[in-house]
Amino acid sequence: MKNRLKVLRAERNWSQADLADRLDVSRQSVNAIETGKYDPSLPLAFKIARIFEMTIEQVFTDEAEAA
Amino acid sequence: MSIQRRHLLAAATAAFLGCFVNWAHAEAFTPQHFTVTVEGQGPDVVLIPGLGSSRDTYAAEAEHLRASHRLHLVQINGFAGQPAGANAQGEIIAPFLEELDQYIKAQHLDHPAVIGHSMGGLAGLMLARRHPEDVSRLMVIDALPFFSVLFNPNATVEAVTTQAAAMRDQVAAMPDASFAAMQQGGVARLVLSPPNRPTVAGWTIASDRAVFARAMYEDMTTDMRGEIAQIQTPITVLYAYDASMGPAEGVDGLWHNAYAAAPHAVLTRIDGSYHFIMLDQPAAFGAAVDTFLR
Repeated sequence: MKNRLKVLRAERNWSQADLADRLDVSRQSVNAIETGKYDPSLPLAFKIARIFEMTIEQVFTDEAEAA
Repeated sequence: MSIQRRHLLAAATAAFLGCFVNWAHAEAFTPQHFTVTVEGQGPDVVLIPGLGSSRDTYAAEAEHLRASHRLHLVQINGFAGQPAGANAQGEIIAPFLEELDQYIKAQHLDHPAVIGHSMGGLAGLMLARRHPEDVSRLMVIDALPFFSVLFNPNATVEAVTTQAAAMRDQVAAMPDASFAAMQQGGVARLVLSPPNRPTVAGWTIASDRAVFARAMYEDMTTDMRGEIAQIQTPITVLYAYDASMGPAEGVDGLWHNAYAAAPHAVLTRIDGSYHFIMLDQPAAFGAAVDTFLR
């Protein structure tokens, strides 16, 4: 699943570890989500959206839909 | 504030905290080395996933089982996206087992059945050995009492320790992209059905690397061969077989040999499957679990 996590994180000057702490996940999870190797659970996707004060659709793009 | 008042206040605070700790301990035991989700009603079943894996390993089976059982789906901290928590330092498997024992007792689980996959199966053997009262019966899914015999039938802990330590350090230090590539390649030997491979690879890629590396080391260097003769718990062993592994007789021999010393072990081969039997052959896996729990 495509997402804007890396850009949103950079805009706030947060490291992967900073965001991982805020989300209560491993640092590797943030990297894996950013590189499209790991799809977050629905609760985690909501948590990510909330932290950036956005909707899930503003953070994540369904590739099937985008294609 | 007088010294006397300060002492009184300290004593009162300590008493209050003491009460709180005792109360918290009695009401709910919160494990530090794993998380657990509880679903359904009925006889208790504890399900333990393998190295770097999510509790979702059992998601499809849980969907079916929770209609008739109370499931305790555990996940070791540091695996599959969970932060390392108390696993940031020290051993992984031993503290997990001790906390699982405390959880089973604190939550008054009634002689639960325990199901463990891979490293979770090894943990199940260790739990049945150390705390036999915790386990009414044990299902071990594709796990050997000593993992390293897969690479060398004559392996001993002494002989594999150096290599396992080198692998641990290498895996811990690997850049994210290299580790991801290794996992995405390696998963093809663990999961036969291609659609399930990215999910399983994703779990290990999202795992805290240091925890993963140390748990892998323990998995490779833990030898239960000398202890399974003492396990009185009934054990069901499911092992995977696919024609690509070579003649079935060789695979049968390996598994039957490995569990020959266990006094109450029953072995079932699941065909057309790699290591993740619950994903590759969900119907056969479900039938085996039904038989095990009957």
